This record gives sequence, C-alpha cells and structure tokens, in this order.
Amino acid sequence: MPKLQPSMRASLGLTVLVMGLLGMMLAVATGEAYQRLALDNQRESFVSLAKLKIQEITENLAQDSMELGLNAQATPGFHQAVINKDSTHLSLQLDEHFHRAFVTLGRVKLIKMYAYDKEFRLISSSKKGDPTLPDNKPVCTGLLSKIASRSKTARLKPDSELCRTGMRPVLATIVPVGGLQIKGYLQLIIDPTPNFAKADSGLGTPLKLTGPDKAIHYQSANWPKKLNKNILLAEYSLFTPKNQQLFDLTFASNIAELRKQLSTTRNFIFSIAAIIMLGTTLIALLMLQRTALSPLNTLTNHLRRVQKDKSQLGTKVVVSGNSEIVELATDFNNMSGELSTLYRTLENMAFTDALTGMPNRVLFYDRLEQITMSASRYKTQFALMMMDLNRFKNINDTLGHHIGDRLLKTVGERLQTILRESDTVARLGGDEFAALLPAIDHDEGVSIVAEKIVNALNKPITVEGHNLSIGISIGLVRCPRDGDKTTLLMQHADLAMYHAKRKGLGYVFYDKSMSSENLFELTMESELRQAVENRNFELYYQPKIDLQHGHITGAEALIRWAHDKYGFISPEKFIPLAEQTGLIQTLTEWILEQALTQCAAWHADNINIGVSVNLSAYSLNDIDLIDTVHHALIKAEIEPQWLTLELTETAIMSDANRALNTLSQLNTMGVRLSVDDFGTGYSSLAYLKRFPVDEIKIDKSFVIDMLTDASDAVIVRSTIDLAHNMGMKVVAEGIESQKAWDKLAELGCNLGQGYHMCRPCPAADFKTWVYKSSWGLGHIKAVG
Amino acid sequence: MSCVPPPKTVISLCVFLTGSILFSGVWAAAAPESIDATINVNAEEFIELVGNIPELVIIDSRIRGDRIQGFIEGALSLPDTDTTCDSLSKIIRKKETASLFYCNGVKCARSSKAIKIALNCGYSNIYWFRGGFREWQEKGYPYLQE
Repeated sequence: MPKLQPSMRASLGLTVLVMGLLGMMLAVATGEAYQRLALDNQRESFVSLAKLKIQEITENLAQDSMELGLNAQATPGFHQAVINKDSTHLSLQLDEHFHRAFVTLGRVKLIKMYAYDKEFRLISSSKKGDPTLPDNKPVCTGLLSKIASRSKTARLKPDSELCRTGMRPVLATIVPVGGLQIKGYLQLIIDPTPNFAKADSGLGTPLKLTGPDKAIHYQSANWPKKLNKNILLAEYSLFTPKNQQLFDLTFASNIAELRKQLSTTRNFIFSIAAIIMLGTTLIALLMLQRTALSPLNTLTNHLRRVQKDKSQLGTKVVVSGNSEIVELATDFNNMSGELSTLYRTLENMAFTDALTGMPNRVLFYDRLEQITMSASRYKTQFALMMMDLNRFKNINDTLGHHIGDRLLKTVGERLQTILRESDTVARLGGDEFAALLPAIDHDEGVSIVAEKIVNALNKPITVEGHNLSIGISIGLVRCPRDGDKTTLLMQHADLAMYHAKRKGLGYVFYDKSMSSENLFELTMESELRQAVENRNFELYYQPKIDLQHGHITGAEALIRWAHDKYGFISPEKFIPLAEQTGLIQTLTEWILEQALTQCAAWHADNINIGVSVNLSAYSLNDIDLIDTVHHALIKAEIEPQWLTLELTETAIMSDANRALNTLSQLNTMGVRLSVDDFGTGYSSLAYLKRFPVDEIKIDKSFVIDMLTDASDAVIVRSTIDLAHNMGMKVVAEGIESQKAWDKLAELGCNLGQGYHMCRPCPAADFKTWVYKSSWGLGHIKAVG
Repeated sequence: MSCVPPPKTVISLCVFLTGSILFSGVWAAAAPESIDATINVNAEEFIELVGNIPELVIIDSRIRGDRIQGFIEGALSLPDTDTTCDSLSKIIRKKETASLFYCNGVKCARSSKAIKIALNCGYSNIYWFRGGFREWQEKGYPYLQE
C-alpha cells in the first residue's frame, strides 16, 4: 500500500480546521456554562427577592399583630383582670378579642391568645382558636425568655417572632399589658401561612409552602402541573431564630422568556464565534498561502524549470515569506550558483581536450553534424581537414610522453594561430587533428590554409632543448562535392590524409580513385601495431645453396604476416607502413632475435648454417641498430659470423655516409653484410667498393630473364665477374630451374636461392627439408 | 394673586401670609421646639423618668375627645383650656414637684400652652414630652383606654 503523502496545504488546512472545530466546541461549552451560571444567578436573585418579600410580609404581620395586641390589652377591665389574675374573666375577654379580631382584621389569622402575669406565668388562654394548641401550657417560650431578659424599660416594647408549636410554624407576638407599669403580657399566636401564601401574587410566581413534616401547607392554584426546563425552581428554607425549620418555600419561576433570551444570546455568540473561526481559518490559510505555500510553489516551479533547462542553473529565485523559506531559497540560490559553475566546468570538460584546451572529438563531430545539415539546407559549402603528425610516434617513444604532450600543445597553438576564429580546429585524439572551414567554395582557399599549416609544422619545434622536426599530413574534402554525410566526409578526408602521408605530399585533396583500394591500408596501421605488440608474425626460411658444391650454407629469414581476416599479407605492403609508423624498430628487433635463436637451435641439432636477416633503410638510420644486433647475438649465444644482414641497394645509397658508418661498425663486430636486390638501383659496383660488403645478391628479375634475354645474361655474368674481382661472393635469387642452376654454376656464381631448390617455409618444414634433401644435411655430414 | 412679579422669597411670604390668614387658630398656636425652664423628653426618657421619680405628676393636656383613643397609664386629664393656677394646684402639691405634660404630638400646642401657664403659676420642675401620644403609640408602648 502506498504511503499517504498529504500536501502541506492539506495537512495545515486540516490542522487549522481541527483547531477551528475545537474553538467552536469551546464556544459551545462556554455558552452552556454561562447559561447554567445565568440560571443559577436567576435562581439566587429570585431567592433573595423572595426572602425580602417574606421578610416584608413577616414584618407587616408582626406590626399588625402588635396593633391587635395593644388594642386588646388597652380595653378597660383587661388590666384589672390581669392584675387580679382572674383566669375565667380573662378567658372570656380573650375569646371576645379573638372574635373581634377574627371579624374585623382579615389580615391576621389569629389561632390562640395567652395571658401571662408580669413574671411570665400563664394566667389564662382563649378557649377559641386552634384546638391543637394547649390551653394551659405556654408556647413559643423562646420569645418569653427573650422579653424576660430585657430591662424594665425595654420590656414595654412589644415583640414578635416566628416559632414552632410542635411541627406547626406560627408567629408569636407579645405585648405588655399596662402602660408605664407592666401588669402582665398578652401573647397572640398567629398562623402566617395565608400571609406567606400571598407572596405568590406579590412576586407573580407560583409558590409551594412545605412544613418541616413535609406537609404541604399551601400550593398556588397556578402551580405548574409538569416541571420542564422552562420552570426554574427557587427554594429556600425559613428558620426560627433558634434554627428550627419552619417552612420550605419553593417558587416555580417561569423562565421561558429567559430561556428564549439565553438561547438567542447563545446562538448569537455561537454565530459570532463561527464567523470569527471562519475568518481566522481563512486568514490562517491566506497567511500560509502567502508565507509558505506560494513561496514553496515558486521554488518548486523554479526547480522544475532548472531540471528541464540547465541554462537556468545559477539564475536566482526570489521569494518572500517565512524566514525558513527565505533561507531555503537563499541556500537553493547558492547551491544553484555552485552547480551552475560545476555544470559549465563539466560541459567544458566534456567538449574540450584537456591537454590542448582545444575542442575535442565530441564537439568537433557535433559541429560537423551541424555544419553538414546547415550546408544541405542552405546550399552552402565547407571544407574539412584531417591532420596527422608524421613522426609523432617516434618522438613519443624515444623522448617520452611529457615531451610528446608539450609538442602536441605547441602544434595546437600553431594550428589555432593559422586558422580563423570562425573555423573549428579540434584535437581528435593522439596526434590527430581536424579542422572545419566554413563558407569555402573553391580549392584554392583550402590549399592556402593547408599550405600554411604544412609550412608551419615543417619548422622545427623546440621542446626542452630538443629541436623536433615533426611534419604533418593533411587530407582535404569539400562538402558537398566529396560527400554530404559526416561519416563519408570523415572517411574520405582520412583517405586523402593517408595518401598525403604515404606520398609525403603534405596535403592532398580527396578524389574518387582513392576510395576502396586503400581502405585496407588505412586500417592496417592499427592492425600492424597490434600484430607487432602480440608478435603475430612468423619467420619462413629459404635455404642458400652453394652452387659449386651443391650443399646448403645458410638460410634467409623472411617475415610472414598471416592476418585473421585478410590472410597472407606481403612484407612489401606492411614493411613500408612499419617504417612510417616507427614499428619497424620493434619488428627488426623481433626478427633478429627469432632468426638468431633459430640459428642457435640448428647448431644445437648440428645443422651448422648461417642465417640472413633483411634490414630496411630505416633500420640503417637507427642509431640503436648496433646495440640491437649485439644484444640479439648475446641472447642467442651465437657467433657474429653466422649472421648476415641484407640491405637493399637503395637503402644504402639514400644516406651513403651514415650507411658506411653503420656498416663499418657491423663489419667490425664480425657480422656479414649483403647487398640485396642488386641491379635495380642506379649504383655501381665501383661505388659499392667503399662499403665493407661480403656478398651481393642479384635480383631475381635478372636471373629469371637471363636464359631468354641476352642483355640480362651479360649483366649477370659481368656482375659475377666484377664481384669476384672485388672479393665479394655472389648470390643469385630466383633459381627456378636446373637450367638456371647450371648456367649460374657455369658463370661461377657462388650461392643460389629459389623455388627450384626450396620455397621459403616454416622452421619445422625447413628442418625436415634439411634432413631429407640432397642439398641438405647428408652432404654437410659427409663434408664434416 | 396680588403679588407680582414673584421672586422666590416674595412667593414664600405670600404663601405664609395666606396660610396665616386661613389657619390662624391652629398655626398661631403651633408648638415651639422648646420652652425655657422646661426639660424636653422622648418616650424612653419619659419611661426612665417614671422609674426615677415615683411622685412624677403626668398631665394629659388633650381635650376629652382626643383622650378616648387611648392614654398613657397614670396620666391625669387636664385639658389646656381648663389649665389654671388653681386647677394645677389641685393635682401638683408643691411648686417644685416634678410634673410632665403631653398632648397629641408635635403639632399639638396644648401641652406647651399648659406648660407656659404652669410656669407663670410658679411651677419650676416641669418636663415636656413633646412627641406626645403619637410618639408613644408609634413606638408600640402600651396604653390604656377608658
């Protein structure tokens, strides 16, 4: 199940909403509490009001009863009866007063009257009145004691008090009998219930009076039949001064109006709270929108823009809002700036050649692509140059990479100086450079630039004291003349460059004849390099036979390259390439080692013959050649006289002085020297005389034609004669018949090679041949 | 009205004069605040006095019609109209015997009038219960009826 990821807006909005709801609930709870409080207040204030009313009623009742009492005691004869303690007479008088009060005063409900002497002893009581009250026992004695405790003067004041007779609440009033001289006291017992009952009309509220025995003394006619929430019951208890309970007064106040009002108020408050809550929520959301969500949105949008378009990196985003978000934006801007720098550096690195600072292969191909498309669209023309340094490999190998690197930098600088700003010149890798010349529509313009480049790089470059003559080969193509596709243009430019290199022409324009035949040669360089590294060569051997005696004297080692794809590749094809690329040195070293090791192996098998190895003209210029030969001899543990080095006539003649020097040293070492392909060059034997040469080899073309062409026969004969005269031996190549053998033997030629005796063959086959052939071992053994 | 223009004092004077003319009998005899050589007492001081001076002579100066509604115990009825040196001498034995006069109340001039007569007759120990029967009754003290 995917984890729920609510948006910030949703979570914050929800929080605000929950807070709002809590606020609303608080408002409701507060409203409820206030309503309850209001009702309590209402009840309390009603109780206070009722208390005041009851107090007023009690006071009025007391006043009325006192007046009644004072009136009663003032009647003539009453005093005397009290003084005389005439119980019977008093009782009659009290009954009369009872009757009078009952008739005249509706305000006081008299229920009993008692007469006391001035020592508060009961004298008499009314016979009328409530029968539940005793006739001869004082009631509400509390009030009597209170009066008794007063001073004489104070006793003259009448007094009144609520009290209980049994469970019955009454009001007792005492008035003194007499005037200035107290004769006794008159006590009136009054039922206050009717007076209290009038509190309902006085307060406009139904009332219920409950006695201490829970008996209902009064209940208003309009007392509610059913209590509901609109009836507020206000209760309070009335006590005597001695804390005896008299009445429970219960008022049933109708608060429907109040309820309505409260409800209205509550709704009003609730609405206000809701509005405030809503407002607050809106403001909170708006604030959030302003200070957090909107700036975050801006940031997110900017990030997305940057993601799509890297050039936006480094552009600053400005947000307002919370400090945290402003900080975030600042950090983002800083990071964006750093990333921008980093990105440009990376871009630079990706499209720039680290060594020279020039555009690299990637950028060059990109530009080529663009210019090709643009040329096809706008029918414009441009030229493409492929350049390769001629002798870079040698310099790198002999002087080290750091010199090579410095050299490449200088080459780059020279190229950039010559080419225009609008041209693109790039290093494609190694010692390969390329240039794009836009808007060129004739060969002359291209030639001028190429010429300048060739000249500039023909001048020696000085690196750390070495004066290096490097040279450059340039292949030139023009679009669309020589192709309208980038790959094709590159191929053709490569071909042209190869030709320039092969022919040492500096620069060459591509033409259609170059195409396919040279494709192999173009790729051969790397193939050859790999073959040399992996030693993918094999030496074949062809015996050299003594023509006079008919036995083997030595073998010529011939290199063979069996390519996986192209099969047998002729040395005539790859040796010049090896010379151009400098691979010849390694190759020569390997051939020498192999040949000498094989020679040593023959000797171990008692095949005591010498071995001949061909040297190229390049090897003759190699200052290390002497060392190489020397080391190879030592390594194979073989005497120098068994080794014959074969050199072509042209090789010797190309730099005769140097050749003379090298050959002299080799001669001193004891190595035998042979001049190969004699007769094809323009040298003469007389000239060769200066060199320490041991033998000459007559080129096979003369030997093959000798039998049919008289002039060739003359050349062979005179060559043999002259060589013999100069003390050199003569080897004839290309003996393909017994007739040729016989003729050469007759002319006195010393040695011979050819298919007639043996084709060049691998070492194993050669050994078999030696053991089996009549020109082979048998004879050597025989000679011993 | 004859009095114009009417500043406040003039109006008061006018009212006073008019009142004097209309109720000359009552208003002319209205009781003073105090009377020289007599001691004013209220109801409580009166009761005290009775305790302290047993021979105190209490004189009710009201006419008979007023006395019917009630009187203070021990008070002798001698309306002011009947008050003379002679009638006084019959109830007050000596000139220096303490005597107290009262009538209906503060608006009643009968007791003050009787006191002035008594003073003229040479009685020297006179108390005046100026609040009279109204004060007595209002304070709820017991009284007698005939």
